[in-house]
Amino acid sequence: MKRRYHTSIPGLLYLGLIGLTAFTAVNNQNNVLFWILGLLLSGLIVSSIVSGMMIRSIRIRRLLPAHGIVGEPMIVRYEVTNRSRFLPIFNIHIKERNVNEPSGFNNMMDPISAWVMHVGPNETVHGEAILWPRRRGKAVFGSIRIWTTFPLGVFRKSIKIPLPQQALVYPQLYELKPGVLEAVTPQGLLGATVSRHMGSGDDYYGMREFRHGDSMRQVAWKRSAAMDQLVCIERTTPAPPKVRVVVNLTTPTDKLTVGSDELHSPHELEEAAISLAASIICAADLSGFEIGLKLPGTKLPSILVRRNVWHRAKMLSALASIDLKQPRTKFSATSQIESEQIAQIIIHPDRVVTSIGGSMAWHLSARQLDTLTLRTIGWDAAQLTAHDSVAKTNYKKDTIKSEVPA
Amino acid sequence: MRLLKGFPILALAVVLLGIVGFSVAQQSAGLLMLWSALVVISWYITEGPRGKSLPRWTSNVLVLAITINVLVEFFQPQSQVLGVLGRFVVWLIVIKLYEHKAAKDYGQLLAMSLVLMLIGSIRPDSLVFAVVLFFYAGLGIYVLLLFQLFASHERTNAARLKSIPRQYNLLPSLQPILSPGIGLHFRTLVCGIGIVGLALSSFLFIIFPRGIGERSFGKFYRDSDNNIAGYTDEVNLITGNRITDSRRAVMNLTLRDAQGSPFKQESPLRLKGAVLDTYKEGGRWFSSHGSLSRIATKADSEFTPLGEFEAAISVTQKIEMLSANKTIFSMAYPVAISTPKQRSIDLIRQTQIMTVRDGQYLRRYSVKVQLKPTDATLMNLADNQAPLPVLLPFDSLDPRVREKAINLLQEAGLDTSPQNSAADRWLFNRKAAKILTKHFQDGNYHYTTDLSNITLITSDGRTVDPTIQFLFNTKRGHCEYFASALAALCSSVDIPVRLAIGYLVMEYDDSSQRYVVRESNAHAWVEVQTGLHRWETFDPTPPRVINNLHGSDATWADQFRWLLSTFEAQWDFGFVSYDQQSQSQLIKALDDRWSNRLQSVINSLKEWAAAINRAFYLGPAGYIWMGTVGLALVIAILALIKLMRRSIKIRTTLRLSHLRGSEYQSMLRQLGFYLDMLQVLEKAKRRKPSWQPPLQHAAKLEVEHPLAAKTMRKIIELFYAARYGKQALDRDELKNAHLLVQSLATSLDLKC
Repeated sequence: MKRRYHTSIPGLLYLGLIGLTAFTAVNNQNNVLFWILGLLLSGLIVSSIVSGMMIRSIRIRRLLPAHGIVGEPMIVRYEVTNRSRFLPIFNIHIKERNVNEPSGFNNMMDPISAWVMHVGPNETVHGEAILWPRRRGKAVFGSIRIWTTFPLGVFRKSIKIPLPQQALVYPQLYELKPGVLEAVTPQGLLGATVSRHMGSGDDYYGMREFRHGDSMRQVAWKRSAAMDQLVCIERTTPAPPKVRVVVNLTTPTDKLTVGSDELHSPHELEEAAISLAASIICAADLSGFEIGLKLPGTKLPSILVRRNVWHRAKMLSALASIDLKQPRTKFSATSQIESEQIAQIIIHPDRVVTSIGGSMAWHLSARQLDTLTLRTIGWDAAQLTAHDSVAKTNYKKDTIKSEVPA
Repeated sequence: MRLLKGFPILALAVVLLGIVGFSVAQQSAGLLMLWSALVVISWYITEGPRGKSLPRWTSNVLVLAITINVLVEFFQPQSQVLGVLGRFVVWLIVIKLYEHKAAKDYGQLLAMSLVLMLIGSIRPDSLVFAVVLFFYAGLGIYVLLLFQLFASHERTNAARLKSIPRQYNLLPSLQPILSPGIGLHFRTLVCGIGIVGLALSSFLFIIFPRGIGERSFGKFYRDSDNNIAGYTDEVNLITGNRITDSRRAVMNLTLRDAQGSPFKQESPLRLKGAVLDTYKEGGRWFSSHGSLSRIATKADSEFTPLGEFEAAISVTQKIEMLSANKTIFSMAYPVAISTPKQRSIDLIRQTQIMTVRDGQYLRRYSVKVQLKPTDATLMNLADNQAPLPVLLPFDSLDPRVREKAINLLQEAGLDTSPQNSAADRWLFNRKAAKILTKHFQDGNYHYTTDLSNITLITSDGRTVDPTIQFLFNTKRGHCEYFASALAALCSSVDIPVRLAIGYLVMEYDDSSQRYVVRESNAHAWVEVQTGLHRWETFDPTPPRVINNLHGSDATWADQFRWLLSTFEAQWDFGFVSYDQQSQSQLIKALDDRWSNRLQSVINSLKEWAAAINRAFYLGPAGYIWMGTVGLALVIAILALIKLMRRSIKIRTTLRLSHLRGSEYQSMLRQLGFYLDMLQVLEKAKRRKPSWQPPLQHAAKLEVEHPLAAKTMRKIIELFYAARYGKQALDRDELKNAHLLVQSLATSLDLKC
């Protein structure tokens, strides 16, 4: 932890005022000015002591959310504790320091400082900073700087506290157009079916003896009359449709086929493919599908077909942690994909390669993102204009998004 | 949030105090009322129900207009730099108050008000300004601290709102993060900072080196800036810095006759402070420095004679100063002086003018004077030294002066031819001075203090001496003009004459049997030589005017003004006049006082011990006994303090404050081991968080120290049994608990 004093413009003005007062007081030998000079100097001393004591008695902890999503605010909380028994803390600013690496949070979002107005002696409060992620990935947080100008604003006393942590930012999610999911998900043999387990469905599964607590509605009266004892009908468990989303990342970014007149860069197409996959996963999960994920071309393992909240988070995390700069691996599990009795949605960044997936697989291209989706969920990171850094990212998707029907 | 909501009105109050302070320093009641009204109205207009503010372009135009006005005013010949600068700042403040204000604007307003107070402080000190400054400092600290919170809140909210993307319509929370009791904490902190700041500033004020670099760059204000000065030891006819209407009391004076009875003089009393015998073109009178005699007064108010004098016909004037002044005033020829403490005094023998040496001030002193001394006494007082030459170049300034004087004397039938004997010359001087004095009192000349429309530049661009201008053209002026003109006429016919300045006193308080001297009593008159060492007083100012100006009865406000005067006297003598000498005296006094006090405490202790020894017949070994008892007492007190601290700690840590009586005492006695356990954990850097149950903490500890965790569980079981199971632990169990704590410390590698 490094403590530092910084001068600020008001502080320099204050020092200038002290110099001017000292000069005038000495020249005029005016006692009122001497007293004012004493007051200004004591303000300087007291200010530095009080701010130093305040900073020294702070204990802070960063409380990161489980994840962030591009297009939605990511709230980072700071637990600020005042360890002093007597001295309250006022006007504490908390600022995340930039991390000098590609996955540093500052490359993904603009840091906004948090502010805590007051922490009483021996008390704890939670400050919060709202971050606006611009792209998915692993956001690495390094140290934070806490500073205060309290009490007089003459000096800025700061302290640097290392708090290494990281959080995942999920890809931008889109709202699929009505009917898209129904169109690409399987019907018939590959669609909704029943499982071989009893459950609460509608289809007949079998019969068994009546047990205490069974509903009278479950009693098979005719059969009971024939058997001279109460028997109940058991129903099957409905099995939701199963979908596997495959994002074809086998082709390196620089070898993707992109026309010279196209607005998208290869990298943007890959990101769009990932976003489309995430959007389909979320929509399918909401519709009650069981979903799996394969990321051919990456070292990330396949995710089995399941359905629950944690499973969805696992898939989104996998999509978030794809590093497109890593060398691509060869995909050799084509046979496995073909052999499975589930529907497949294969998303390609540029052109459709039908060699991946079976004959029943749906092949989508990242270029279809606009035609398949209505709008972004949250704000569109591509259209972000409030940040200066948007110009640097040079997104060209404004034109694309404007074509999406409202 | 209530705290922050109150900031704008408090900031306005600080700004208003700044303006009040500057107006007080400028002594401009009119501007004070105007500015105050504008400030108050600004609040209603900008923060009132309609909440309108001045458009930016309008305020820019106004600022431009004021800047031009200031520049014009600045380059005028008689401009007061500080006044112009201060007024400029005030107008900037007023304009800013009518604008829409963000945190930055409030910061600028506060900074400008501080600058305003600093400008006000450069001018000579007044108690009223100091009072305003004190309140300003107190409120200013509070508002400055509040400003930090207000500005941070505004900036954070602005940054948070700005960061929201365009498409995102949900507003985040803009409420500040704070914990309970912020108001109390804030006010307590402000009080603490204020008290420490005040103490520290007072300390710095005392120890700042004085007397170094004085006037290195000249005064930052002219004497003319100081409209009210009362008494100064020089006269400037153009600035007229002595002339004032202020009713501020300067001193109280009691006259006692030779028998010691107080009395009131029938004629007006003239308290002379200085005589000026050198005139320079441009209306400036100076005092030429004669030979100085240093007189050391005696302590305990015993009179120190200035020469031989007739005690039987002397009068004693006892003066209590209410404003710091180095001059010693006397109503006639001073023959002896006494001061409460020993002081060094400079005496100019030729003029009998006395001043206090070494930058000191006299609060009280007594002077014995003789109203009609003999020539022998005068010669003795002057130490046989010849009178100082008088340098009055009026004749060379304008030859009409002499013509006018001779005409007046001849018209009155006085022979102006040179006199043969000294006696004739003194007689001629007296008669001529009387005739010339009468000339000014005949109604040809008018008394006024308003000299604003009198110009000293003629149509051909020549500058005219103000005395000459008064004598021949304007014929309007105040007492200094009258006295200068009489001096001019007298000197033109070779009459030795000099200007005397001081106070003309007529206000006598019968109840306290003393004269009250006010600043408005400042006066100038003329002294004409009517003997080798005798100077006679002639006052050309019309007596009617004198009666009107100085003889006015005390007003109802004066009845209460004595209180203010008392405070002002304290302020002047205690604060304004604090300088290098006072500093060294204070340090010496403090040094002496503390060493004396320490010595007296040691002596008292010795006497006390001896008395006890004698009372109990302890003999020489008694001191050893007393030392032993004293040591035991100290140890007992320390042990008691430790016990009390431990009890308080047990009560707060284990939250026993709701228990009363025997139950509380029992818990205090029994649960100490649990506190010990917590302290052991803290020492071993395994501090138990207050929110965590002890058994959970033990489980956490088990990973690294299974033995310690086991011991801890045993201690916790005992604690639960005693604290919540209402099971009183017996002696063995308590002993066991303490052993367990020691075992815990050992297992955590701590030394018991």
